[in-house]
Amino acid sequence: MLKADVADVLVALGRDFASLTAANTKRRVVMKLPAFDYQKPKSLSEAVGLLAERDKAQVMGGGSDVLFNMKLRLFEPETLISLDQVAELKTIEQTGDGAFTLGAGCTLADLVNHADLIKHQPTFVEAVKSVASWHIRNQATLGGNLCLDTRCWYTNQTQEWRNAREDCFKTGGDICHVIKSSPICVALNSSDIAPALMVLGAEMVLQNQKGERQLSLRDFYQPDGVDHTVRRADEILTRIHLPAETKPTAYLKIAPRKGMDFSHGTIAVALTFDGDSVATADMVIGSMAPQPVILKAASKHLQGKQLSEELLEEAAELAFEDMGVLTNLYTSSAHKKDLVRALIKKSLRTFMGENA
Amino acid sequence: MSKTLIEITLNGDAYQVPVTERDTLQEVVRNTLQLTGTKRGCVSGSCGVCTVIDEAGRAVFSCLTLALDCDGRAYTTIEGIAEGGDLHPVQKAFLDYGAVQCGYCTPGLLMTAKALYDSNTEPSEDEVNEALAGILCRCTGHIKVREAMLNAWRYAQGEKFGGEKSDGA
Repeated sequence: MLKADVADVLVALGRDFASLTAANTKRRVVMKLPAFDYQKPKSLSEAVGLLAERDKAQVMGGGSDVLFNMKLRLFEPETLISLDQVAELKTIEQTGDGAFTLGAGCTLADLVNHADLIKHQPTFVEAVKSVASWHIRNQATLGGNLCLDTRCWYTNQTQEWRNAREDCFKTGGDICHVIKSSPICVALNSSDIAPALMVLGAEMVLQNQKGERQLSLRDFYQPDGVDHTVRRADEILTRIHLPAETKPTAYLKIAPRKGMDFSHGTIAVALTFDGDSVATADMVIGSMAPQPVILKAASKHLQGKQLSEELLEEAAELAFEDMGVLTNLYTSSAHKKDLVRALIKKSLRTFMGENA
Repeated sequence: MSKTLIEITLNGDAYQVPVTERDTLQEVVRNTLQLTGTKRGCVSGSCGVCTVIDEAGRAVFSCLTLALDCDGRAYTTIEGIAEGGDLHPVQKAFLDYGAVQCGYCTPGLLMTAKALYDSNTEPSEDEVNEALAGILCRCTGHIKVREAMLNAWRYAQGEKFGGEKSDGA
């Protein structure tokens, strides 16, 4: 086909040849990092100072997600602030009997190998251990996992792939190509640790130049794939307060492989019992929506009842009152529904051995 | 693009290397220092062929490590695990148990095996599986690699090196 013919076809399709080829030849991306101004602060106050004065600054913990996304040009920060040297963020402190304060800069390997955490916080450690692979856990940090950017099959692609298609909410457009009618971005939150910390009642501390604020992890996420946390641009996540694990809890992750895969679904459950029946229930499902979803209706339904296969079926169906539209990444909506049911039933069954 | 001089120790040798902010440790090791034993694979942290070992003895992906973050640090690459002419026990085990197919992922597998071996000479099967989950082998699989990793300790205790050990399972 002649170049002119291609141009005609594109005009017919409503695309302009010059801008399309310009976009495609603008940058040849071979997974090389883009240019940025590198900053390595030595202290937290220096880091928040930098974050306050720079526009388009990105904070980096271990880099396992940030650097990969930068290679894909999903973000191109003008300044990259490496928290590598900030020792204040790398502490693990036992603050009470089984309660901990964890620095956001701790690597996941630091956490899963910590003898006191293994002893007092088995559910948390199990969730951390389910993240990615042995190698990635040596680099990735707790704060990085909790602030993990959302992911989508349409956006998380190479730049060439994205150049050939229209922009979406996440890349500056005004439409979602995964759910065309959606008013907001539906990219998924893939943090495996967040659901566990939510049912464990963890609090987090965010710091900017003016000071700190503390909030529950349950208030940290919001249902918008573009702006998925309430963290402000000038804030750094510094610490997690993890209360003692007092309730019986369970955690499950479903992924195609045991290592290296983003999960297709995670669930964290905390139940308390009054005799044989459930006194309080709390269930959070992760990796299925732009934020970890708190299953309010299903949890409420369990209260005051004895766990039985029938009750599990009912709870599994009630989950969809809170789940929202299930689509995006990996599998079909129908399969995702099956996954939700399976996660709920499988995790609740772990409580039935002792209490049924 | 301005270059910064970093000081990095690889396999015990100190280097001063000019790098830009765009370089990863993998690019410095392979391109600048010509230590090409560390392979380039997915460069996104999915395949594991670029594994190196950091100062703390942990296996990390060099493709996801910024060169500028490495200033003042020490790393071990595949070129540095044999001592003198003597192969590391995991290398001997890999050879004897036939844990090599095309060889492309082998540096990554060996660095992983060494990191695990150094922290725990006699790992359980679960620990070996967990460590291996980070490395892809596209030729065959992890069965012989696992066998080699489970038996590497024998070579530190005088097992004769150079015989066929695998039962062909």
